Amino acid sequence: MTSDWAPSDPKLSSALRTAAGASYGALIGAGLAAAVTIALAPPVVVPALLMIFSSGTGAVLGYMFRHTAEYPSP
Amino acid sequence: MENVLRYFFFDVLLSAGLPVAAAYIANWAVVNRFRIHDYLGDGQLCFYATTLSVVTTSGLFASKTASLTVKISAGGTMLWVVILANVVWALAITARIRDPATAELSKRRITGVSAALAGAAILAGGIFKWFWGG
Repeated sequence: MTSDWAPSDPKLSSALRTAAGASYGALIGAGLAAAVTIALAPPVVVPALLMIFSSGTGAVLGYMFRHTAEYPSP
Repeated sequence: MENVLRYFFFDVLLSAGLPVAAAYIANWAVVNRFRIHDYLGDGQLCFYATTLSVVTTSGLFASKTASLTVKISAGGTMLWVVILANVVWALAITARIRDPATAELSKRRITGVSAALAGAAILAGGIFKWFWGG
């Protein structure tokens, strides 16, 4: 799993995973925001915050996943 | 509603769908093998996401009808997508140049991540156009 994410440079690999996590998180957040907007018609701040928050969560998960993959617990 | 449908037809279907459809037809006719990362593996969708987000933000800020809250919320979110798309593209291309042996996997990676970003930009643009009516 690690091999396809620039394994020769841990920093680059970590940055890539974080950015990819943020991107997938943004997509999930946008999907959620679209569903919420259609169903509830909330203020504009709600979908915006959903997207940003989801993207941030994805970034953290991507970063953590890299560390889990690289340094497995004994 | 009309503006959202117009947005999906011109900004999504024609802008992003048409080039992929043309590539698919050309491949089907000539080599009979279509692998999507052969066409989108250089981060084309990162550029699409950037362009779509910037154009949406530009229209938003030029709008007379959009409130300040809409401008700040939607503009901030779209600019976040722009930043992400640029960071993803720059890092992915750097990784490919650094590791030529994994170039094929790198193309698959860029295709997946850039498709996610383009999807996010498309959905966010549609949502905010709905609010702003632009």
